[in-house]
Amino acid sequence: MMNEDVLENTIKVQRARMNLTQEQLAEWVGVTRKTINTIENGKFIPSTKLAIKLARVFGVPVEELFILKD
Amino acid sequence: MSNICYIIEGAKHLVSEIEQLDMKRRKIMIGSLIGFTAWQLPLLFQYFNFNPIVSGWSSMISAIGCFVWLYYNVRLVQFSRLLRKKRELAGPLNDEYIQAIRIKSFTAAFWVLLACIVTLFVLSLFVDLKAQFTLHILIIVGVTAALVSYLIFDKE
Repeated sequence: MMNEDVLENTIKVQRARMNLTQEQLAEWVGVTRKTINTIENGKFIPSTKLAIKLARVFGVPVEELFILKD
Repeated sequence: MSNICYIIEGAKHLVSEIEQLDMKRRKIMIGSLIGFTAWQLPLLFQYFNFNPIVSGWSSMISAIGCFVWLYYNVRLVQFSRLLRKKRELAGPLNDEYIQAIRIKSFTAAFWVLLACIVTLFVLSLFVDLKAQFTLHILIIVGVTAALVSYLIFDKE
């Protein structure tokens, strides 16, 4: 039986830790605020490039920012 | 220290400008959709209507719709020119999420158009459909389906 993998993220937590708004984070990685919002809500899965950029902004590994749950 | 504050203030302004332009683009698309629909639907209606008074009113609504559509197309061209001048805004406004939505909306529009073609084909087996009427419907469905699906997918 195939289980559907779920990708969760800790972007909201990391943003709160660094006191960043969605807009400010969007500007740092070169996307719109709407894109950050949809990633946070799990509606959009970012590309590897964008995921790495986000992880770099927060200074954490990508695996800590995006968690794949079975 | 003052340089850092200046950079942060500049970044805040840029971010707000991106947000405003994103909303502006959405408004232009909604306006264009309304204009196009108002322009084309009365014209479609005239294939079935033979009352000159009703025909006159529908022509007027269609003409207004045409002007609205043209107005928003001009605004869209101005928007594109603005992005060409301010290249730092073009990137975020065409990020991977927008590109994904664009592909999704074209895909949705394709299936809607295909469903419309199949429906018209089946209908043609029972009713004599004029070629002009059929092609007109397909143009309207093709354009509106793409715009509507984009606006739906783009909504937060």
